[in-house]
Amino acid sequence: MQPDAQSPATAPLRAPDTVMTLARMGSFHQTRLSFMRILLRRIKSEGWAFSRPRFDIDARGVGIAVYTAHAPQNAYSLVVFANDLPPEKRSDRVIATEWDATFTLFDGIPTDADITRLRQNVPRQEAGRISAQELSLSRANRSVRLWDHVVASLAAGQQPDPAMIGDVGYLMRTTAVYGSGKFGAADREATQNRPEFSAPFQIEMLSVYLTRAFVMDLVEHMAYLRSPDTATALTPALRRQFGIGNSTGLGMAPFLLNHPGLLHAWISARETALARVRALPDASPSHVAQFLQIVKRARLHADAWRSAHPVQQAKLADLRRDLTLLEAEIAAKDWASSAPWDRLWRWGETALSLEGQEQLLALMLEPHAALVDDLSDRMSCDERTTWQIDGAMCCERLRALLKTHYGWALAIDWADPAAQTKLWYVSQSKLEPRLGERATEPLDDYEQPLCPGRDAARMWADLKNFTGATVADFALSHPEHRHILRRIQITARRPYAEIRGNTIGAALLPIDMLRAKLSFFGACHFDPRSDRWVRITMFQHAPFPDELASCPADDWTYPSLTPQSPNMHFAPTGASPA
Amino acid sequence: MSWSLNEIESLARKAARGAGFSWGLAEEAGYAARWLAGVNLPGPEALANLLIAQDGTAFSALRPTHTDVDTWQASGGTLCPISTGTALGDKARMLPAQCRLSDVAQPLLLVPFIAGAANIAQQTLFLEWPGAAFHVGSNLRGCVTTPFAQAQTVLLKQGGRTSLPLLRCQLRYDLAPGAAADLNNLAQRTYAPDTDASRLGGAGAGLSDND
Repeated sequence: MQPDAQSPATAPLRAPDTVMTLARMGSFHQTRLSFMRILLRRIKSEGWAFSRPRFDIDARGVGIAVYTAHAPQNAYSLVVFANDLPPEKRSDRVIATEWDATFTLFDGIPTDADITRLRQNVPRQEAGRISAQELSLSRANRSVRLWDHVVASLAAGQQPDPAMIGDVGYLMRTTAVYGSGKFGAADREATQNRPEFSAPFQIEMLSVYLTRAFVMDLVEHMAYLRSPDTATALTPALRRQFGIGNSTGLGMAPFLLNHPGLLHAWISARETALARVRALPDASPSHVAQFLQIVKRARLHADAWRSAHPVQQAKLADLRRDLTLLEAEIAAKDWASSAPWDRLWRWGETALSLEGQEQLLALMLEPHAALVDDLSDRMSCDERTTWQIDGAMCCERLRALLKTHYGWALAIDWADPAAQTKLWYVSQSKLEPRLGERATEPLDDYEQPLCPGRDAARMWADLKNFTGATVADFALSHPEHRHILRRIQITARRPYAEIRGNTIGAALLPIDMLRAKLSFFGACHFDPRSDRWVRITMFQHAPFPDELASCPADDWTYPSLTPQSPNMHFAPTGASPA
Repeated sequence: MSWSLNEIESLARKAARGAGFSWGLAEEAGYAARWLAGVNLPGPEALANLLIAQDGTAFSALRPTHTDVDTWQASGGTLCPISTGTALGDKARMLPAQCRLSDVAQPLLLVPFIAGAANIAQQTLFLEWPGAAFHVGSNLRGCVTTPFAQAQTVLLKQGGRTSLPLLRCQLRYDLAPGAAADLNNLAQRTYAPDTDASRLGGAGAGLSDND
């Protein structure tokens, strides 16, 4: 790949065959280029205002709230419908029909008529219908254990137990956040030219960010209604330790396969950022100091990361061991030598596990805001521009491209049943993507096109001896290969577009795909609950909307080194405990 | 009902797959339906008609037998506009100055592919059949009086006709309920019937959600 002549110098980008393996993608960490961080940097730099024009919630926790974000040109309102959900109805699965709270991000400021309309629809989620005035649709469930503890503590005038907060990390977790045209919402095309939504998933991130503010207000409100005479509010320091949880299942995994151009944009921005840092001839003392500090904070983050899943437990052991190795390496490092960042990176490639390498990547970007943050402008993609098949390409060229970019797929023995154990399908009941067992379930007729490796190998079998001259001839003779043919041409132009691994093999862990995507959102504390769904936290430690003006917007993803005492962890000018 | 264009595209793609298109061609059908809906032309309705009419017919009978000739035709007598349109788009840089298409079902569905070809070849193309004419290039013009009628002959040639009215772009589409139901019925064929085992195993749940 050619570096951009207008941009800072870069080291060679890592090869797609190295980056795009499922094991490595399943080890990705959030970085400066994650979508949550892009959003908060923008909110801060543009000085957005926030208001809460409505908060009518009764003692059972039922009611309506509206939170409005005022961007320079537009306002966006999170409209909340809070519910009193019986415990037996609480499920994170897409088959649920009721939730503790449901949300939509409204484009503007809703009128009473809008809220009446939304009230008929938003609580029903997939069964309802929203309009071009709405940008997202989502819902959240409480962590019952932590919720009850926090309400009881605050009602009694006590602060909740920090250890319990640490164990869970959130009071509510979203179980789906739908955007871009889903269930009648506005298409992304309707808002993509607004600067605040030019980066990917900014609507969804804003929705979750406002959801977090609502949840914290709600828990304090419920405590107050339970015991108005004794209730207290959370201290600001403790308040910030709550993120928003998210429970993500298989529904998200196909996204990476269905948006190859977008995947390339994300990965290439991140890889370019790494390459720019590696190309630096020297390391300034201030950057080194920042790096040393962020490594210590990453250690706190890794130590606080809990998972009951054996796969993740092993990865966490790797990560903690790698951070110990990294601390020793950088303590002894001669930072005055030439290209110190590149040397550190090369050391990491041999000394660290995949978890550690990808953590090192994220940490190396941290001190270099001025060098890499502009890459956030390159993370969107008009996928239509590379969608059309180039039929004038000669078949010889297509054969060469297939061998170059899908060599990994041709190396797999697809006749071995283990190579095709699984298949992706969509269930009739909730239109939910699922993963089936090919040998034991009669699902072949329903297989989704989510196995590019197998499909490329099948195409190769027909292409290698095809006598026609052009791709147009091949496409006319073999319409069954049209899907993978398109992907191959996209990948030839955008080499990080394809996951270079078997997405239907016996060894597939769908959580690897989920983690890759969620890391770009900015998620932390990946906690797989099985091989195919994962819980995470979002915006944990982030400043709340009313705090952003008076504190840094982008210094929260790793915990602070300051002891977690009230009013020390976060102390905006003039602020006092609520 | 007002649909988002993403909904239109997704439904059209699934319906085409349900009607027997390969996934790659189903993607093209989704694109065509969305493109036409985005200029307020009844592409989704045309697609629903097409899929129902073609249902069960072998694809090989519906596609152009040869694409290096001046008149394209199907061995089965009627050309499928999705197969024909994609073949025209694939040959965008190799199109002859003029090309005739014999007996095309739902010819309106050709227009998005011609627009794509014009974009790739960086030239203006003109498409007409009795009751319809479209100019596609740096701007989009056209009109159609009987949008769902089969065309005995469709003529495609280089050059345009700027006297045609401009097409109006939009981001929503009011899909006719009958066509929506038809497309939904076909899309249903892509969904696997549910079983308890698949519900539990397929999505990998089983742990308590109440923590």
